[in-house]
Amino acid sequence: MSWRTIVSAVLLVIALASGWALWSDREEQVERTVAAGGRSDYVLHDFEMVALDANGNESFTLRAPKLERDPADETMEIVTPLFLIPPREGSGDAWQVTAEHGWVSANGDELRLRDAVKAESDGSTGAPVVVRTEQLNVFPEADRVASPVAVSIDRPGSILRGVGLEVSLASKQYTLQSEVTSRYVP
Amino acid sequence: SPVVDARKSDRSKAMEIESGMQQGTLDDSTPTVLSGGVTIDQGTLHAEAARAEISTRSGNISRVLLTGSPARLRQELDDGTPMSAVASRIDYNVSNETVVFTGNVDIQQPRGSLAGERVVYNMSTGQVTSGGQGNGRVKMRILPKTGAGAETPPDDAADAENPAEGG
Repeated sequence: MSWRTIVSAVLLVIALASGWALWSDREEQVERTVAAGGRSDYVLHDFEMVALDANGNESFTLRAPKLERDPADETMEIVTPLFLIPPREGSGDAWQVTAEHGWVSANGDELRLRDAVKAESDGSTGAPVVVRTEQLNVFPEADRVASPVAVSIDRPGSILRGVGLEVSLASKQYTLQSEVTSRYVP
Repeated sequence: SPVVDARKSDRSKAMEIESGMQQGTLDDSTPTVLSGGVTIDQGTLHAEAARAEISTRSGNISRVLLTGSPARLRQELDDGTPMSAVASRIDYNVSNETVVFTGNVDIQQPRGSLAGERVVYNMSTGQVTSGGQGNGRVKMRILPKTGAGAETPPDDAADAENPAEGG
């Protein structure tokens, strides 16, 4: 049975979380025009955004057909976001994360991925991993990732499922809070 | 001690584990703890416990420690006969295929039973070693062959209390 599954799955989140935090800080300098009637103050169509980390290395790339920003609460809605995350520090797997919807809080301290959330590793340094859930909440500053619903982590030879994922990226502790089932095929 | 051979085909079967909760560390630096009632099934092997600790080495299970009051394990042996065991603690070393039962151990088989404080069972050789190392006395009960399964009055049965065997 390979518990490396969970390690690879959550390393993905570390990359996503740190990259997102940097991207949302950079967003502060954007010129904002307040649009009347609650419409977005800006909308991006068919865009690709490359987020760089503090050293100028690619943290992740986000592609989406549409991003809208709500001036009232300063949150952002992203339609079918696709995150491409390179291996961290040149080691580990590259990851691809997709969802039907993405939402970013006003100050960028929370990223919510909703509906058909799927994270896949490319398997370059280990067996490929596929993480599936309907909700994934990322809190970069708190170094925390959570999902209140069912999460499944599939790899060749093992399937791990549970409800209520809680991960502390700082201490690397994780908890699957209920209904945990795992199946290992030798 | 009696030679007891676990069902060899079990180890090639899928292992299914269920629990109420699972906690661990992402880098496998500490064992994964399953709680809230744990069941493990692999072929004919079925184990139940309140809690389990699963240790891994390079991503693969190397040890499963079950605790409960009691923890239970049952399995079909290669000759098709059932074996069931209860103990406060069942320590299954997957790497060297050895199970150590400790604390109110009671192992039941159609051919007899074995009770004591500590029993070591080697799944690959079928060897069972009990007692020793100050682990108290061992009580073994072997039913006579006549009338398979038919129990004869206690005083006739080969009810031997033997001092602890070398552990």
